Amino acid sequence: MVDGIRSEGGATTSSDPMEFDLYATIAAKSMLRAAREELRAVLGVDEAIVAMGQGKLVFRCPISSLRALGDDLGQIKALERVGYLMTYRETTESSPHGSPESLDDLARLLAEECDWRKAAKLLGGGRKLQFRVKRSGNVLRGHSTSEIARSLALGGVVDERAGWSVSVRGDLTVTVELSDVGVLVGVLIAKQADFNEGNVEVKGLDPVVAWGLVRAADPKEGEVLLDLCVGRGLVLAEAHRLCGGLGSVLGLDLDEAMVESASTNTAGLHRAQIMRADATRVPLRSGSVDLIVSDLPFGYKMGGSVEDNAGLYTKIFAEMERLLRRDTGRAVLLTNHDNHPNMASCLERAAWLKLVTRRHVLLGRQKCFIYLVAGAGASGANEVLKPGVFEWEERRGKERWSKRRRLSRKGLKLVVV
Amino acid sequence: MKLLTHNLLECHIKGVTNKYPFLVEAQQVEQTEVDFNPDFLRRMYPKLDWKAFKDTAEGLKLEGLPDSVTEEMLKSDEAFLRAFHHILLEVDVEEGALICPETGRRFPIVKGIPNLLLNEDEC
Repeated sequence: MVDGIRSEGGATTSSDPMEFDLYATIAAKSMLRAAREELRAVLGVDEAIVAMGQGKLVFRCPISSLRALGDDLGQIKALERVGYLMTYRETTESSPHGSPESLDDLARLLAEECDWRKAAKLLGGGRKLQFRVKRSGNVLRGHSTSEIARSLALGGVVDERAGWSVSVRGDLTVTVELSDVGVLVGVLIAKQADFNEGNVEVKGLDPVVAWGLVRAADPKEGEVLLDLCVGRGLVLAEAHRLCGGLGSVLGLDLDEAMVESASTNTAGLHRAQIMRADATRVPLRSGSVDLIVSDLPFGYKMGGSVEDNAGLYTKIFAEMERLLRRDTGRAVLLTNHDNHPNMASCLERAAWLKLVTRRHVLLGRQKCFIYLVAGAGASGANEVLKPGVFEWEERRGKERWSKRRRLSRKGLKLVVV
Repeated sequence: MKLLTHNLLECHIKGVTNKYPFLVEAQQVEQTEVDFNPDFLRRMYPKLDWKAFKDTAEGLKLEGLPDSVTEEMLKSDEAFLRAFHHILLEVDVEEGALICPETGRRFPIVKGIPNLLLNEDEC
């Protein structure tokens, strides 16, 4: 058990804040500082302890009601999930017996250490609970997670006075996480409204890179954004999220399967439109597009080659200069190092698009460049820039993009009402 | 496919001069509610070809758009802004086709996605 985390109960009226223990999940160590800052600023939490190795934080916080907590959590972007902490027991060198050695041991831990009545004060009485177990390492190794969950459901571990019952389909999920570093029992309360890590339907371009491309294009309200090679639609999804006020978010692809995946990944994003069309013969009016953001073909799939890309890129550049609003139009293009000569020759011959920034990025093991090209009238087009990074970046590093992307989310949303 | 998208599209068959706007043939039209945002409409208005928008709407039996729009209407005419919002953003052609105004070539729309690929002899 962590000192200073467990609290003693005590009756209070609902308008009077009462101290409750909560836990939160962070996506990466790099989010820790931002998470602590948000907890301090929004919930007044001065001390948050790193738990379960490093993926979680546990903290105590004054809460007047679940709804009030929900309003506050809406401002928190650095955390993936927040839950009510029933108990946390750390396994350390000095307390090697922290982890349960049998199912009975675990049932005893839940019955004795979880204050069910206090939880019901925040989450409400009359709830139906279900148990969910996550297990890693050597704890209760001989048992499957469903077997452990079943034994807890039948084990009478919930204090009856809380007014909660155990059910196969509960409206509240009690998560029991077991690992070699500790045991955490909690109830999920809120998760990020627009995305948690890795919840894309069909995997495609790394969403963090897609975010970086869109961010580099600097989309503004009312603008029309086009992806010439939409692939699985990740750029459109990020654009929609980053700038909800975009006028239109259009994506083309030649390939039927890509069009279908892109359509799945952008379902429900009402400004997005997928079309089946050719990037070298685009069925859009001249000057109708403000931004083009595309992950160009590298030439290794779809029967292409780096040599063929010389011709392909030339045609794409010609289309870009036709489609983009003259002077203020801008494009952000991604391709690999092998295709740099192709890009360089396109840039040399371009009528009005000029290179603003070229930034290196690693895509898996593939060394790539992102090119920001713009007309002379685009904002930032004539500034002297730091080499190799965009003007909004201090330093290179994809992890920094990942962090900024998370901090641009809408905030946590209650899953328990 | 929304009429906002349609307003940006033009036929790209080689040699065609009367390429805008595509005629819309709609077999199935769906309506989805979108939050009303007059500022968005004010920003989008200058980007639209109003005549093409109005004619296409009428072809789909969507009435209520004026022949021309004044600044005053964009600023404070709630009834006009509501109609503009609805037709621009809430109407989706799910099944149908886009038809080239010059050649009559049909580009099908299936599940809201237009297929605008050209045949080799059209490039």
